[in-house]
Amino acid sequence: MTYERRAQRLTRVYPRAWRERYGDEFECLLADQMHDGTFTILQTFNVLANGCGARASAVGLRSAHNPRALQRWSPAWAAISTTLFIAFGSALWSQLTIGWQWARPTALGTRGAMWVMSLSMAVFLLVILSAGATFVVRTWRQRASLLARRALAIGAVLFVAGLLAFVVGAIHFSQHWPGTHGHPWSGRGIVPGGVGAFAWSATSSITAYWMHPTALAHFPATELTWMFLSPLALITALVGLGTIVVAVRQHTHFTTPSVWWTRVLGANMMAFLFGALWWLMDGDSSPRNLFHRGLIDVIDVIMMTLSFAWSVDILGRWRRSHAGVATI
Amino acid sequence: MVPPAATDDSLGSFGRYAGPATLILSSLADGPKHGYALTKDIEDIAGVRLAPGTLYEALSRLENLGLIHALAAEDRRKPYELTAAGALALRTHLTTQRRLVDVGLKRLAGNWGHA
Repeated sequence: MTYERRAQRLTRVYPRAWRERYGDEFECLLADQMHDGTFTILQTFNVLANGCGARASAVGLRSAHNPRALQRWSPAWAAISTTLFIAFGSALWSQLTIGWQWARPTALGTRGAMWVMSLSMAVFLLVILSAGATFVVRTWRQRASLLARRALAIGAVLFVAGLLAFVVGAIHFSQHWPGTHGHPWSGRGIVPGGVGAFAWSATSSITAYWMHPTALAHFPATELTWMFLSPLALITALVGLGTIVVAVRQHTHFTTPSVWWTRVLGANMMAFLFGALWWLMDGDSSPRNLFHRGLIDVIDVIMMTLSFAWSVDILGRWRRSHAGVATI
Repeated sequence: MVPPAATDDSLGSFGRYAGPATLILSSLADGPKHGYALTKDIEDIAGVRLAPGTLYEALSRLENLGLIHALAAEDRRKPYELTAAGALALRTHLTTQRRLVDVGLKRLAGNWGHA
């Protein structure tokens, strides 16, 4: 392969917009360095790393001098990071909710933590519904362009298909697993049994069972399939949601992140994290070890913390990009 | 008295690209150069070989901030030129750095002699 051809292939790691501006001269530089023998394997890694960095900047995933990309993509990343937080939170909360369907926790800490997390879940639901309604109403009022409508339609199809598969599957499996809605003791906890069962079934893929193949082997094939398919359905819904948010954001006038709901969301995430940590540190799993804390719960809380930190980072950079502050 | 420009150290906000950006601006202070000529000149003046990815990341940031600008391409190679804002930013940054160098050397001489 000639040096020019090799340089051209390496440059492809950069995004198209970057290549249109710097591609030609960059290829020349690489080819010149290859000719004089100064282009080492380390230089190759440097090009690959910076190319990936440029791609991350292009989709608003990196603090870079690209406020337009930050403004365009941040709403979608904020929606995705919040959904991840809620997914991990639901996995933890639903286990405790199911436990409470069997028996009331002995420890005051577990009961208090459950109240905090349950109220927080209700606030999440309200914020999501009101934010969704705001997006729909504003988009409709501002008469989105045809291009936006097409992107909106694709996003809507993915979102509805993913969500439908996710919800229908979760409802179906919530009826058949022990401790869920089908159990005669359901309704004993602080949330309706069906809600807890749905959340448990929906987040059943986030479980320590993956570390115990012998236990997994006893699961019915349909349930195992559901544990594989439910994250895929959720990812499809998330991709659809991201597409909708980007389309709406691009073709309407959402110029700044709305302060009030981001604050409500941030405070609510902190409240939920507080509840989860309260339960983790409480140490009492009685009665009947129903409220046992395992490694998976610790990992779950770490993932929630990371999702929360990511959301805060995204919103901070989004605001700074509007305020005209250099985000290098 | 501190000159007004000394409070506006644009390169200070470049994070890990502050070093490459300073080297590039210092090289361009001598006249316009394209990418390959820049890496050769920087190697000569500072003994540092800037990797191509790092060079172009710093170049694009400097260009976006208006500290350098591209001239017409010569055989696909585009030379870059220092702007007035770039010259001011470089002067401010180097002045700040020189102050630090002076203080460091003075303290070393006071406490460590010529060791």
